[in-house]
Amino acid sequence: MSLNEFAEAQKTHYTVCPKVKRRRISCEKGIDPFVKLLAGKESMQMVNKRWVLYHQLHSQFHAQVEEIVHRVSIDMYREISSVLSKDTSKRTSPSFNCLFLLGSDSTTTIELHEQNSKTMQAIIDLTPKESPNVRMMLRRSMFKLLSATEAPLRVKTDEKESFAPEGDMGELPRTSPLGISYDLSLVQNFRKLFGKRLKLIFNFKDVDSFNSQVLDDFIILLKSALNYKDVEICLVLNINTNLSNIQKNLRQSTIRLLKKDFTVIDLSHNKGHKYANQTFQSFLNTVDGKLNLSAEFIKFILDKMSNNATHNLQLLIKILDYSLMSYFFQNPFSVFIDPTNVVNFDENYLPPLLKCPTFMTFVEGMVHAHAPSEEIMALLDNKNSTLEEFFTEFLVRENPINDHLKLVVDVLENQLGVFNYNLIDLYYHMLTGKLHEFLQRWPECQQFEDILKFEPVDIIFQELFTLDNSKELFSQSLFPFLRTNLENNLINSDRMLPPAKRLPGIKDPFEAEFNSSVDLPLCQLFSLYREASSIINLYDFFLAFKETLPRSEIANFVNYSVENKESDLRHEDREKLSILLKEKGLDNLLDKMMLVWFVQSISEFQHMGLLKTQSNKSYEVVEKCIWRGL
Amino acid sequence: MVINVPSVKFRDYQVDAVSSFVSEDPSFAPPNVVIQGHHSSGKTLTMRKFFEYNPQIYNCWLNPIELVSWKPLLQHVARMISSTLANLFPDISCEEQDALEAEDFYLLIKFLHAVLRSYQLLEKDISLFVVFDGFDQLQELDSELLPKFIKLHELLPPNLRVQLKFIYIVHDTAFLSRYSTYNLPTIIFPRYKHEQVAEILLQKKVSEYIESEKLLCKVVSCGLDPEDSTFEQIAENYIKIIIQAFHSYTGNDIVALGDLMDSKWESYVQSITAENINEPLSLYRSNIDLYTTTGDTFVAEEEACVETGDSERATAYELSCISKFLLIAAYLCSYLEPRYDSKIFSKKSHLRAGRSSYGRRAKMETNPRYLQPSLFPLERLFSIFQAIFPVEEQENHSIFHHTEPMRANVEVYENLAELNSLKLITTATPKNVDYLSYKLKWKVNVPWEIITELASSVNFDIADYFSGLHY
Repeated sequence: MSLNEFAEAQKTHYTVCPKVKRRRISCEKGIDPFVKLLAGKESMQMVNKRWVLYHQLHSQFHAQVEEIVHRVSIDMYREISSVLSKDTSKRTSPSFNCLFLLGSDSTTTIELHEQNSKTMQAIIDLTPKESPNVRMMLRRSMFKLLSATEAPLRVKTDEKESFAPEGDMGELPRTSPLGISYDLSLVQNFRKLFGKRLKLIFNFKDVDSFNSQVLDDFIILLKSALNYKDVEICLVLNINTNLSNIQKNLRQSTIRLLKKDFTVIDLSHNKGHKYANQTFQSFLNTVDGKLNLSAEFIKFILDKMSNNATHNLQLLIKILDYSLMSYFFQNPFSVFIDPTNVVNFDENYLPPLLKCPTFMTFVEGMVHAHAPSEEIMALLDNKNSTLEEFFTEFLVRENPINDHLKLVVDVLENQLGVFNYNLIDLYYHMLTGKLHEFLQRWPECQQFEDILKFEPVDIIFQELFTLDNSKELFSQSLFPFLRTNLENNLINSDRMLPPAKRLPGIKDPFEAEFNSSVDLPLCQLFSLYREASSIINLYDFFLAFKETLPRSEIANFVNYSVENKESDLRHEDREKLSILLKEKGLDNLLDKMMLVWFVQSISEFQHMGLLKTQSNKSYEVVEKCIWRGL
Repeated sequence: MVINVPSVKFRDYQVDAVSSFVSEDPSFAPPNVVIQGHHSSGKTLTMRKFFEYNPQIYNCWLNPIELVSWKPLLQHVARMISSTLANLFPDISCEEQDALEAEDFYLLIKFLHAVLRSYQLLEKDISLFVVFDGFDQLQELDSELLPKFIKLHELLPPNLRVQLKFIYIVHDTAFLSRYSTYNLPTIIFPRYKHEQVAEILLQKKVSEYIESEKLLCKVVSCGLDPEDSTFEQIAENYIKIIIQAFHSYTGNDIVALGDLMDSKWESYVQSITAENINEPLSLYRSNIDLYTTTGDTFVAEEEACVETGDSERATAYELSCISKFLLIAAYLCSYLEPRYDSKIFSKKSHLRAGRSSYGRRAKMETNPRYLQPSLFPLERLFSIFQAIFPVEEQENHSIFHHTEPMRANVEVYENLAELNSLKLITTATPKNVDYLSYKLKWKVNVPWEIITELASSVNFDIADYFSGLHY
């Protein structure tokens, strides 16, 4: 054994640096996020145009979406206050005006129509914490009622006092004979005390956490207040689970009482198809006559939306957004959505055109129809730019589907008064030629059958202008597997960090280099973690971590930032650092830094649930919780 | 001293009894009278009518159910008495007392002392009846309260002009039997009989329904102009049918029956057409489902209209398909032993050696469904979820159809989070949950009834997994 081999064998650890093949970037990157397509032959100008066009459509769509989302909340408030202010004089028997807010996180503020002088409206919020029993609920709510009533009175008297210092208090209600106590007699005598009608609105927050027995008893208690004159009671129940859950905890007689007059409003705005329809419609309008949507893509949207019950609308917007982006990103023909760009059409675009299935069927049709062979050959070889002209001719052709969709919607809404249809589903049925099936749900449609009949048509080159999910991009990126997603993010820090600022004429060469060569300690450690076996010795782990970090670059960086006055360090920090550097030497300092990073990252892993210690006492060995190796 | 006896249906005896105990002359009336009877047996009605017919007998009413605990009850007794007297005899000035001060019994006595003393100027003795309508409905009732009121008259001076008399209306016989040694005069209101219920309801509701606006509108919109007797016939039939349909459910509870009638009247009226208005039988048939359920639910109507298309059926229980399977998987995790997972869910059990492969499961002594849900880690949930989630068989080789087993992607986690916030799946520790901790265990929070309902909505036979588990 040679000496070298022996020395090698005595080493506690080895450093192996496998060579990583760097990916060759096929074309130079422009300033836009898009890259050249058509095997890199696309001109820079067209890439830029593609980007601008995408941006334009995207912002157009989002302006509309914002408006829709804004309208959602306005509609909601309007709906709530209209329920609360509905006329109750025609009621045959006394009952609560009961409003269930489904999917509410109890933060919904209730806006009242303006107060008038004859009626006092008071909102009483009750949270489960404030309501351990009926007595406390009653006292609290009566206290709130009283303070709500007296607040404006007090302001008024204050104003008066400022005008007339002597101020006669006789205007204040004489309360003594009736007395004010915090129970229902306050409600009963409200008219006598304050000379106003009373409209009480109980806002029960987070009803699911209430003790249902207490809630039930409280409602029964309030029931007797219904018979008082000039008193109206509204109950607003904020429910974040579902109605049947609440229902099963209440007495049947209470349910019967509440049911006399009740309204349910779903705040999660995914009930019904109103907003999703509007969003989809606005997307269609944005890309109107330019883009088609493939049936499979629509099916994908429908599937995913039915899987996500709570954030339906957000999901739809996300999918549409993503589809638009990926279309512009990967399809060189997207630039021709703006027909003026056709002047830039060159021979690079020809090969994909010839491969279009619709074009091929067209040529086949020509062959069958015994068209002159020169004509066909001219078209295929683009002689005298015939193919180009042919393409341009079809560029402006519009797909009749959007127009027909508008017609169907118009018939449904204006002629038949049907509003609870799913527009996306309707579109899907139209694409697959099953419109008839979809409309069967509303038998009234029979009379309009001849108007509504629709057959989907193929337009030549339409696949170049179709949003599709042929490359599995959506399912992969929109719904990544949690673990692979986590893994990818932890390996590539640029996926979670904002892109490094690249200033032109950067001053310090070190910093730029440092950013590109040194990863986050967390990511660095994770790549080691992935390769480790399920039980990890911490010391070995640390050594490996230390070895893999590019020591010389960090050393350079430390030196540089100590010396350079313009670095990000604060003055006192730099002082400390230079003292440490003098006392301990650079090597020691670097070791310390790495140890700090290591301990930090390890504890972060523990908090993320990637690592666990085997016992509470020993920290020598940690165990992996996931990625436990093959 | 003439006491008018009102006529209350089927309560003649009770009215007679009341009239012999309640009188304006304090020397003829006992200080305490108890009226006992169950819900809707006409107690309040009878008493109200009695005092209505005899305005010369002074009375005031209290609703203990509104007052929740005894302290406000005492304050209200004080306030009621003083304000009633002040209204009755406005000429007599009495110094103002704050009723809120009557926070305890001795303070109540003190208060009453002061108030009643100022009415000594009256010419003759009068009795003031204080009626506690539903004394045992007080939320925080204790056994000391009633004796204190019973003995109240002994603590007040006997020579007062105004004598307080208390009438306690009590629902519960058990409550009353505690005080049987006090020998209180007690008038018992028995429950109404079936025929009596029918008669009372007919008398009360027919006129109301005949005049109801909805009936008139409907009949007019049908283009009919029937005689009054037809209306009567319709209302009468309706009431009779409701009583027959729901009597077994409500018992002789007039209020509950009346509520049921009111809630169904509208839909009954809606089904009236020109053809069936004179034929009770066809009218009955046209809305038969009114009589089969009580309809005491908030959700019924919505669910009915949701069950239309295929894609909508997935959200029939307001849960998505993935959520449902997650919940089913969670139920299986909680109620099946992890030992047998590989046998039950694996398709390759023959590869395993040992007993676990051919699974001679020891039968359990009790059905696991009767036990508490056991805890499980999330990993187990996901693997069972993957095993039970249906895989679409080829047919369409597009990526839009899951042809490979469902894996835990973001969608699945989203649905899990939703189930957690709906509290259908909960963590072992309710507070301060660290969701990233590897120690965290979960359990299902759904009973068998709901899970079978859910499973049937996605055509999953969950009962199969629990058959033959126990003796």
